[in-house]
Amino acid sequence: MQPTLNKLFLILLCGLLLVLPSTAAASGNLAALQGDLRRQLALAGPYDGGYVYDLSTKQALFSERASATRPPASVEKLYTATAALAVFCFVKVVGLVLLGPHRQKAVASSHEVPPSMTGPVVVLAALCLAIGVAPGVALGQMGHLSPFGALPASAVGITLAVPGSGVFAPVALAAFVVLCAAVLQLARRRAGTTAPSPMWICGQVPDSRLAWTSAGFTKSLLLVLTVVLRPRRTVSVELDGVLVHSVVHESEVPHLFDELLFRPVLGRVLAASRVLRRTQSGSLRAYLTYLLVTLVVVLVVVRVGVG
Amino acid sequence: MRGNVLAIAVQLSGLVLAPLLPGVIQTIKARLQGRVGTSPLQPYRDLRRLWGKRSVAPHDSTYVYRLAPSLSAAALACAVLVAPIGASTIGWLGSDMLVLIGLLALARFSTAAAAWDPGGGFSLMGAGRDLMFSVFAEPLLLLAFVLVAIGSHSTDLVQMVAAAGDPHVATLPAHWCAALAFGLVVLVETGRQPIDNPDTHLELTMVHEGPLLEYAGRDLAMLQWTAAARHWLMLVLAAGLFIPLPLTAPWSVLALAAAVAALCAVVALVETSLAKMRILRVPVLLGAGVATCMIGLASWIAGGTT
Repeated sequence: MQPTLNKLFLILLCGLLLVLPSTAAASGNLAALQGDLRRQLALAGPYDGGYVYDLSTKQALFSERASATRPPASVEKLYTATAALAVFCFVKVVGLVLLGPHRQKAVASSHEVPPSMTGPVVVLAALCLAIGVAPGVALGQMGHLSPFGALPASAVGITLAVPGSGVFAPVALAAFVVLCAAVLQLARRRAGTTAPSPMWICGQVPDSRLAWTSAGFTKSLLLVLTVVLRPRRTVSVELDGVLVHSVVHESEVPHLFDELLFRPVLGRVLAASRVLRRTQSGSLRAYLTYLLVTLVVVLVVVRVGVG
Repeated sequence: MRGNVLAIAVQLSGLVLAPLLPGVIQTIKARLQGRVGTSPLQPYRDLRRLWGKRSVAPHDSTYVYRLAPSLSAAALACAVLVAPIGASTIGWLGSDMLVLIGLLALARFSTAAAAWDPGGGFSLMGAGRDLMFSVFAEPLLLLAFVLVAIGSHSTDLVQMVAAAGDPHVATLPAHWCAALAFGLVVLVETGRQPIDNPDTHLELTMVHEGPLLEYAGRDLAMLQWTAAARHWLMLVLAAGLFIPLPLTAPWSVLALAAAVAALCAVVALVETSLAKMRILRVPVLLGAGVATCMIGLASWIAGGTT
């Protein structure tokens, strides 16, 4: 089983509507290495659009729920837990792939790809952003697919005001955040030019061997979720007399879906097909025998009668 | 605009008044610990001092690093303008509870991404811990909101605040379970003990201060204001959602001020009496909050749909 397929399956499971921004983010992040334009898109596009979109979807789910009698709040919780996890995931991927000093020599000499390659990513990111800023457009259409019935036409527009919930004004929200950030950015410039400074790592000399890894970034979450994720870790110390000669450290987070679900199911299916394959030998005589047996069985059934 | 003009003026002035709250908490905490402590206005002096200085940028940092303080401050400014004061709000930017959750996440995202930019180990460690907490605290915040929304029959913050004074809502066990859970969220979002120690100067123990390590000057001023605005947002919401306050003109604002001051004292008391938890124990504490919320939810389902 491909790990990407596994991940896609998980994303689908966590919330169908998270897929759109996530796939856009994946394509944006994997395609780009160290381009400034890409950085901007990968940061702004999937996140803002995706998250606002995500929120407005939740919003729609929510208000429908308010009219229903029982709120399955655990579903809501799961959904937002995945939203916070998605933020963590985005930060990790964006940070690892696009930000920070070069982690490999080959990356240092990389250059921006031609516009024909950046174009599709730009379009995807722009779509994400557009859906995030004006969710009403897509939501009005998608409301018909909802098992709770379509949203009222008055509720969906530039601002969302679904019954049983507050006002949701993504356009004003986005405009205010952008404007406010721009004003603060101008104020920041007026203080004078930014002074270059060394990085503070407690007085140590910056060294690429001390660079933070993605595993380190998520280590705390991994430790907390040990019961669920069941990471495997082996440390073997090779001693040379009393001195430590070398230490080998291996850790791995197993793909639980692969191991506990897909692999057993796949194994059973393959075993069954192995049995079937024996009967399908390709020999003409065997097939004629099958036909004969079937004919006899049918004749017997007709003769004896069923029921 | 929805509601009273005076209350909306207070909501706007929250942008200016926010640094007062951490100042008050620090003062009360110092007094409780037998120190004279700083004046409640100390955060303003710090902000003025920092505002007069130039920013710095580590080598190899890009605009992601330079943009993060403005972006997170803008997100929090927006959140302050969404949180209602005494059932009144400006209302242009939305008034739903999920807007707040999204804005808090945006601020968190921008600072965490900025920690990756220069790639310093201590900033990233703090950012990673902060995001780890948020994975547990954000569902808890949502769950607390959901339980409050049960009483008010709406996820509109204005109606949720208005319902706090309803005697029927005050008898709902779900409401008070939500209050307990919200208390935990307040501690996480404001970065107070026992979750995080705001006074720490040890890089290894930092959570919320970690991503701020590289910043100076106006950038740091913006980030410190952001932290103060988080205090304002969380304490105003806690007082509005869970303390029955009058809703008519001048009294609503005065009662809210008194309630927020009392909550500041409670936070200072908690911080003085409890030591900082081990970081990996914090999700367990937040899990207890989730369990409390589930009990509230079960009590509501058992009690029928009211």
